[in-house]
Amino acid sequence: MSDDRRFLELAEVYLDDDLSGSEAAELRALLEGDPALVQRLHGQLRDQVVCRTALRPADPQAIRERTQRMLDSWRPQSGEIAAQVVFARVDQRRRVALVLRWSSLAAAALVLVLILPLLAPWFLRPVAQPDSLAPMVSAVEGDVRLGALVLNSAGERFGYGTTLHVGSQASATLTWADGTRLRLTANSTLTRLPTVGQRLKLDVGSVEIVAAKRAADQAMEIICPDATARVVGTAFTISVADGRSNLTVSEGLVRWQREADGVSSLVGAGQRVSAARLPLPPPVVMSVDHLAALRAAITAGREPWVSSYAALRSEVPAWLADTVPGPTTLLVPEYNGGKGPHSDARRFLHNLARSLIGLALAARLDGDAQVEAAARARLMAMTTLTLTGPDAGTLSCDMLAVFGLQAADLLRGLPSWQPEDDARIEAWIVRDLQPLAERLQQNSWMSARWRGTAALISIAAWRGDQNAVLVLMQDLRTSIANQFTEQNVTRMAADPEADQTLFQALSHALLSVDVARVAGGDITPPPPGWSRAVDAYLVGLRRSPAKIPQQRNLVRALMGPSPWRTPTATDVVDGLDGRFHTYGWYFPTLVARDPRWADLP
Amino acid sequence: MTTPLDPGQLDALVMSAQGGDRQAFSQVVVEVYPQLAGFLAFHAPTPELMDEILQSTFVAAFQQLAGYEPRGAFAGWLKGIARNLLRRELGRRARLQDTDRSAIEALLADAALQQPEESDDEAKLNLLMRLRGCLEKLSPRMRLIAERRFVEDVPLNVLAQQFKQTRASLAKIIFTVRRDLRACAERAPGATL
Repeated sequence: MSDDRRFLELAEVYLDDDLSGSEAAELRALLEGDPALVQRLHGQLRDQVVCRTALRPADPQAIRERTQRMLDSWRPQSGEIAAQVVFARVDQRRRVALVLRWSSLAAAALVLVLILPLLAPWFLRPVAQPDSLAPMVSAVEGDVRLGALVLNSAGERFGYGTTLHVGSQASATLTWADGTRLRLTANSTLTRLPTVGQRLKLDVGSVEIVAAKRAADQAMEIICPDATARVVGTAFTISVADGRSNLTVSEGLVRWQREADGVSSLVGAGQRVSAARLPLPPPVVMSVDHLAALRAAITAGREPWVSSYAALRSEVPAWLADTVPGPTTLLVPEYNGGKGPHSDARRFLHNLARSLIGLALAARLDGDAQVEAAARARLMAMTTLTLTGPDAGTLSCDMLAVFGLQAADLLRGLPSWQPEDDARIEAWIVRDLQPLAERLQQNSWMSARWRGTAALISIAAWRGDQNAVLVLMQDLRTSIANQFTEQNVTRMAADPEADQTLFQALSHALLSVDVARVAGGDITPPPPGWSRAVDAYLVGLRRSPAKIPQQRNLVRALMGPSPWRTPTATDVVDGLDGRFHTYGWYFPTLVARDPRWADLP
Repeated sequence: MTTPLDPGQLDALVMSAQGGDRQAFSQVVVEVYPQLAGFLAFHAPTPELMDEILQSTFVAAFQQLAGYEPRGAFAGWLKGIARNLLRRELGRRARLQDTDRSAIEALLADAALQQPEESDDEAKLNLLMRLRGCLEKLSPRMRLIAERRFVEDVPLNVLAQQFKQTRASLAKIIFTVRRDLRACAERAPGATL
């Protein structure tokens, strides 16, 4: 059979998603051997889609019925944060489906089934009666006009389609029945758009808003010339000057969307963002909605977050009193049983990195300027360190890349972060972090490899390269699955007291997957071998009468909701201190254990 | 066949949907479905991806409906969502190379991403309309094969048995039918195969 005929046959079978393994390899070889064939197959596939679309015209009745069925099947759920979580789940399922080469209808159905329930409240909400939600002008000062009407006193309703003008050295306050207040400052113009909901158009000037908590479908929107802020319940300020908008959030979350291209980001408490800066860089450690959920969990006194946070805050005064090290070259020789220069270097970096990430986390949670400045000073000190010696890569990945970039990411969301800080971090990555991480990732020892992966994931996440994060995560999962085979786990778990192999493997895998899951938003279950390894390790520890504190400390990090963690390990843990062994300090609880995930069924 | 709504009428429906009118939303989907499907047919490299993006676009549009400003550009707004979703998905696929299948998919995704952005949507929709006419010009046997393959999605193996052909022969026939249909549609109206 000619190559061309064979190619056509394979291409048709590919369309059916029916290629055998050998046929897939054959088609791949053909395509990789001839780029023109790739273009040809692409053209064939496009023709197939075009023919299919043209010859199978949409049946309006069928579409209508299907849409109606979708609407009828939606059930109410709550909250924008829940929506974010479910979208993350959907994204993840899509990724899995991609790897499996999706069956399109099944995948589409899955996406719809998962997402559509979220939309129910929107459809089930009571439709607003015209102007029943109009705010009152509750205070005026100076030259204020409502349309053509000069306002000398409060009491007017701010109805649909009307415009409020505030002159120089003047201000006006609007108050809604639910307690929401909006203050319009001098030289501002605001229009209430004639649409359902609370949509206000700010042409120029500045508004300060304290919005009462309201349903997501009743969210208030402030539409600026170049961006729109959408808020459920929060306090924030928006200003417009020369057609450019700036948003400052003092409490809660605001979705800030640029008009020109629809790009948007959630902006959280303590952040100040101009529309031109959108989208915000994707977070390495915590998205702003994650942060909001964490704050809410702490405020509500939920465990383990509240205890971990209290432990963190208790250390802040000592860290503030510490001296920040200057530029230093640090020799890191090979590990020598916990003694000598290697351990000295580790201890030094441990103290620096632990206080750095602790302060950065506290600054982000609390918006404390003093704590923020102390964290920034440590981060800058970290970027001036030079690590040399055979184990420089190990410590660079563990301490500098992972925790340094996490701290930088937490600080990047705060107002003091400047573009030159970004440049400084990028130079640090290129000069020190990336070469050492790439070298460690090539190591044949799994623990070293995983630590290298964690560092590279942190770098990719910092740079916003989500595709690289996903590829590295997939590599990590495969590596974990290959390592934790039944045979390996049996061998590694033989003596958890004398042999630290399984402890090391679990510890470094957990660090890597925590970093990967947080950076990549990955909440799919671990490979089965992971649970087998954790179970075997716990069995070994229960059998051992020895104290072996380092191992038992790891179990604290392993405790938590399944599937990556286990809730059944309390009997081998000595105390429930919110801190863990060197790999993560507060990270396992405050960051890796996302309160939103704990809420999932 | 009903006349498509003009942008202002469509906006009125969207505003009703924004206000919670479920019937209006259904009607919006019916109205824009062919246009969006036509748009994606020329951009998505596989039928599966087209279906997926089509569905995902409506879902995303549902979620963002309150953010739509009625300015007579709802279809364009929807296409913007679809384009973003498609590019994101293609980008993801281009990174997946763990298996032979995903490597093929990655090569196709790369090829799709390299295609220039085409904007003449009206011409594309006209081409789709003409394709239907071209189907009528095929011989009865070819038309049957085209309908089975394109409309009913009958797999190649099954089709080969039904038409008593080898798989390779039928693949060649389908390729020819598809090419001829497209050539017909791209010629002036009334052209024969």
